[in-house]
Amino acid sequence: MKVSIAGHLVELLPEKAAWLEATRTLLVADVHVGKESHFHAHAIPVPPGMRHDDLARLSRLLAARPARRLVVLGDWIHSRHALTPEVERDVTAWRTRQAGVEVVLVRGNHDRGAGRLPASWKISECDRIEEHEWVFRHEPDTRKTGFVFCGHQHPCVRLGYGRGPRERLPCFVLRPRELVLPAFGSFTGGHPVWPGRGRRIFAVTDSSVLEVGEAPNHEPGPDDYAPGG
Amino acid sequence: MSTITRVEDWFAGRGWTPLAFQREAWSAYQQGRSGLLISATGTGKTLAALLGPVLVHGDRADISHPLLWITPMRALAADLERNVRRTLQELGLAWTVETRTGDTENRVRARQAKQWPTVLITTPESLCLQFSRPEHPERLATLQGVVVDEWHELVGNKRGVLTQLALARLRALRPDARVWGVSATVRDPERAALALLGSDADPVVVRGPERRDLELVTIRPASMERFPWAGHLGLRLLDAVIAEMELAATSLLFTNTRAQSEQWYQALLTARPDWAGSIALHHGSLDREARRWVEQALDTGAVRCVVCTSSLDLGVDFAPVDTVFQVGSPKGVARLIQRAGRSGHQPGRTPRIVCVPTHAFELIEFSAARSAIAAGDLEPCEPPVAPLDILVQHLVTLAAGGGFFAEDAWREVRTAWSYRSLTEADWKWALAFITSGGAALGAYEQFRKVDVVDGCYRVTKRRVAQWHRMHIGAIAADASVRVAYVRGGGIGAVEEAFAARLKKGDRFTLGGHILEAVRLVDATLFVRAAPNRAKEPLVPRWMGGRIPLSGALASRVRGRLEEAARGGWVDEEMAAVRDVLEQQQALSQLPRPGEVLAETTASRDGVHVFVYPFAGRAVHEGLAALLAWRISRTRPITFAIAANDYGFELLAAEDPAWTVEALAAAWHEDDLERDIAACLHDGEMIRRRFREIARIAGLIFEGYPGARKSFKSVQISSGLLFDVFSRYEPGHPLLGQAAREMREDIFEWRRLVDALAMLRASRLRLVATPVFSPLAFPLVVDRMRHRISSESLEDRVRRLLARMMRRQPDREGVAV
Repeated sequence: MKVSIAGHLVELLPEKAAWLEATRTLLVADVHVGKESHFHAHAIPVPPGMRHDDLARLSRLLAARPARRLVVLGDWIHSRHALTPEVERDVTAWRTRQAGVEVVLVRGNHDRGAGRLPASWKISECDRIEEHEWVFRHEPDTRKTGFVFCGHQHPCVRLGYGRGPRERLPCFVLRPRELVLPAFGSFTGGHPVWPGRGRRIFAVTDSSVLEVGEAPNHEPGPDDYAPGG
Repeated sequence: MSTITRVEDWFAGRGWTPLAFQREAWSAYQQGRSGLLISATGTGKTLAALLGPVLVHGDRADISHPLLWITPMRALAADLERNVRRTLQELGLAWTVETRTGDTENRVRARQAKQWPTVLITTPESLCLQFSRPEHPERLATLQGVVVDEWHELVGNKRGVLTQLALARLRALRPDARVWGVSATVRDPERAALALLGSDADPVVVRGPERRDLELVTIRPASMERFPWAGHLGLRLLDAVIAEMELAATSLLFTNTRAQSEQWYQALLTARPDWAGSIALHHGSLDREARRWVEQALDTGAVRCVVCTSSLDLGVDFAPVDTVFQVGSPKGVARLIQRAGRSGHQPGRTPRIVCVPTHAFELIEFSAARSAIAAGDLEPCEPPVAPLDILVQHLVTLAAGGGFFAEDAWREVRTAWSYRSLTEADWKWALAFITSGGAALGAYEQFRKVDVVDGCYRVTKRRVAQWHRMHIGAIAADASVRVAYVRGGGIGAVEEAFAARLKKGDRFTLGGHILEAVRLVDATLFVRAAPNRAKEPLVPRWMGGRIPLSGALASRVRGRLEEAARGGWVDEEMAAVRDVLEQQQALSQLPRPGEVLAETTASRDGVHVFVYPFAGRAVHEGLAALLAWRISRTRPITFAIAANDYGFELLAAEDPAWTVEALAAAWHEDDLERDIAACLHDGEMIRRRFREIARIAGLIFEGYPGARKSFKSVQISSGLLFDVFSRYEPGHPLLGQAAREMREDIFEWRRLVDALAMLRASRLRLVATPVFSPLAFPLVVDRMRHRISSESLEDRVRRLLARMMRRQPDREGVAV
């Protein structure tokens, strides 16, 4: 799905990333690498394996297009507990395989809590990037100078209403001066958003990105509290 | 004066004589036996259980041989404490009585740690909590006896399993302690006794008087013409309820949900403002102070009516009332008897329950319940079989409380009835789960919950022990947010999802107060009393399983309908619903013996098929999922499924061309287990099941109201947890348990198999109706739906989006 932003084409990808052709930049947000290790450190045995999938998905995305750089819009790492030797080793190995691509992290709240990233990851860090009229940052910007690409919200959208079937999907949220990316990490939850008032919603299925029209019955109704609803 | 003389005098002083079953229980206790006491409510069970220890120890009882009294409801504990203390005082005994529950203040706990009372009243959870503290065994090893109150409430669920394991621990610590269960009438007393006392016990079963003489009356609308076919509030009958309430000095009004109790409380106050201050509200999401106040007020007769949920279900021996109301479906025979038992304690009076239907069909349920009570047809309660979530929780409790050796614990755990056939493989997995996470060696980096030191399993990290203690228990609770006034003072709790949707200034009710949201800070929603404005306040909805109609009741409801089809209107309730059932007959049919009724109806939502086997909601969910899944194997299609106690509905956007043959073909028995397993995994029901299991097993940290922020980083939605486990560890035993539990007690496997056999043996009658029939209507308006689909996610989403676009013209002309 391609959308036009300030005269440039931005491609929204079903892998929960965005591709900026003009600068050959791949954008992702909220990867939360090592979140499972953070849980293990707190004595909660969730299955491992998520980060291998996430790193592999990043590799596939980079391989499929002439990417010059990867910009992570914050929350690359989950916490300081996520920085285990195994996580460090796996990301270093991934980074070695992707040596030809520049990786820039726009720090998010989780990154700040985690401390400095290992040097072997070769990830440069900053708090925001401004390029022409484009701004890359973690959290949405209320001041809105230029067009903002951000994450942080983990947006998802609920489809269906009334008596029919329903779905809940991660989504992109496009406002006149802002694009919020869905959370990239496999081990991340979502916060519901609804279309309307200048918000366009692009839902991500496993194989496509589909725009959700501004439809009635999309405001949360009483049945949104119903069990299993 | 000997103790027995004192007891006899005490009875005589009240004009009573000990009943035969009470004497039998005392004598068994004096002989050092353990057992189960079964008696109807209000017949003196508590005295039967209490006076055994009194007769054995009399004046000699001191704190070195305490009595432990386990009650399932902390709401009861205070009540029980007062009554036990009063009895002991009147007997002239210097025994001390204290309570220790989740509501007990830290100051009191600290004192109890130093000095135990003679009788300590506690809950299963609080007892487990004591096992999680290293200093416990010394105290518990001196117990003279244990009483488990209201065992019928525990025997069939996981809290009961938790109690079984705690009792297994006590048996190991103190083999001589006598253990007595106290229970209302249950279907299989011998098994209930073994579940309590362990698989190799030789229990005494003492039976008291049973009670079948309770009076069940219904409040019926003057005219059924405008009475709803579906619904859940029942407020249409408010005036009649108030009229009945005026005749009683005290009454209890039971509702089936917390939201419903809030609405009834508001409605009563609106209709009778003069009752302000003399009616009260009691449910599980209110602050403990508020609950305690209500319990005391009820005991002293300071309130005329308490609107309540199952939070006041128990405690039948004390605080009797004049009239008990039941709003909405009775759900089960045993539960209704239990509730009715809170009234009619005066000599010469029988318990009486006034039933208030919220829709027409509930009148049939009440009629069916009356006949089931007369026949003594109670629901069976099966203890859960070897639940792994409870096992791992118990093992971490033991590990935190000083540690355990695998060999000893294996022997001990297997004495508990539910684990008598625990396999060695499951046991080994449980040990691995708490030490290394349960996966193949080394896969769970940094994971350490329990360490093995010289063969002893121990929790060595203080924080792990602390967190574990916060999550002990088996009561399903949703992430909740504490509600408190800005100026201070807690009111209760609402679910996080509800709190998150509130905007500043939104009004809602809680605990009977109308509140205005001010701000949400961490896990506290600050509110202020709302100024009196006309706009209706919101009513929070709390999750919580919907209780299905029991099999005993469901088949009797079907029986009533079959009678009606033959023109038999056996009682006033059936006569009242005659109009509705005749409409059903005119539009479609009533179920007839040997037949199963099905209907198809087209609507703007798509094509509906309704099937009515009358086998209870649990079985219908299973049947619906199975039917949908089997049909979806033949072509890409998506079904939305609804089920209730009478039948189920499948809704498809495109016409599946329903025929008798197509439906009948789905009932075959081939590959039943495989198909059920497959449709289970597809469905969303298993996610909710897994949530509870994950919580008990310590995979979900919910924190608690007012928790520190550090909990946030490990909070995770159960849906996400289910997804990652399904994807990354599909063979995980806890997923297996979720599927097994779904099969066994959600779908009630045996009933499902029976229902399938019944469907195959019956003639299926399929009727096309132009509009929804009265039977279909409750299914159509049910908002709780599941999906079974064989379409790709993308196709499903495309269809949803297309439908939403089609709806657009509806809104034309509507001001936005």
